[in-house]
Amino acid sequence: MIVVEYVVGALFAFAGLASVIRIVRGPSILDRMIASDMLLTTLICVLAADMVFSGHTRTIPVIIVLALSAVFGSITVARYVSRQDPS
Amino acid sequence: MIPQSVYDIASSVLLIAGALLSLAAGIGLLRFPDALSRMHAATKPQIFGLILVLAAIALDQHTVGTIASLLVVLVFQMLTAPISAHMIGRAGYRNGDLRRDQLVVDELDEAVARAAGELAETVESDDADIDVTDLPVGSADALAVEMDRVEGVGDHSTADGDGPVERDSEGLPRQAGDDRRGGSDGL
Repeated sequence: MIVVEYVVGALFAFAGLASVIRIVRGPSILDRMIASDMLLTTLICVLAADMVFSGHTRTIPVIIVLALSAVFGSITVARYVSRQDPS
Repeated sequence: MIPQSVYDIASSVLLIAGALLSLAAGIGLLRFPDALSRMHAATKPQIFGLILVLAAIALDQHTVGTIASLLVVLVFQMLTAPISAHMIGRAGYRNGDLRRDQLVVDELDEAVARAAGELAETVESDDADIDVTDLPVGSADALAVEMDRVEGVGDHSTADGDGPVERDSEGLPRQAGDDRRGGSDGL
């Protein structure tokens, strides 16, 4: 089980690092928004993996709130970016 | 009764699968060339990876309350992830944040061109006879028609040719030098 912890931790760490790199480098604001969505998903998965490894369910409310509020950032940025008038 | 070690192994496998999906999404996020294909990579673990990881929790701690809470998480994520992906994809397409040389087919382009053509036709045909009473009061269209009318009063030579007939009954100033109008006035 300890090997699984290290493997899963390394994989999620790489995913989070890739997201951060894309947030820093990403040429457009949409790339940054996509990467930050991905970072949030990775965070949810890491919290879930922590619950499996530590054997508790205390962070389920945190996961619910994250899954609920993740959509607002994307919608706000997308509406800010897109041109409304084809001109 | 299934021993706990079986649950542990199953949840470990599910966790590793979810983590591999996140890894693939991370690689895609780094390597893919434009925003739309990056979004394609990044939205895979948003639903499927989450399903795998939540199933791992459900196998590890299989009580009814925990599984119900995880179902709530999953339902909310499945409701909101398509919305945000749709908004981001639409914004990306409208801003030209995609590489067209990598597209096999662009069905939206045809639809946009067709809509633009229809819009141009509508503008051409309706330009001649806009009735102000049909437009919403204070709207931009009504204001534009009003501006046309006011400008037409000052410009005597062109005001009468392109306007609707109702302008006569509104008591606009008529010019003696206007030959077309002058003929009807004399009778």
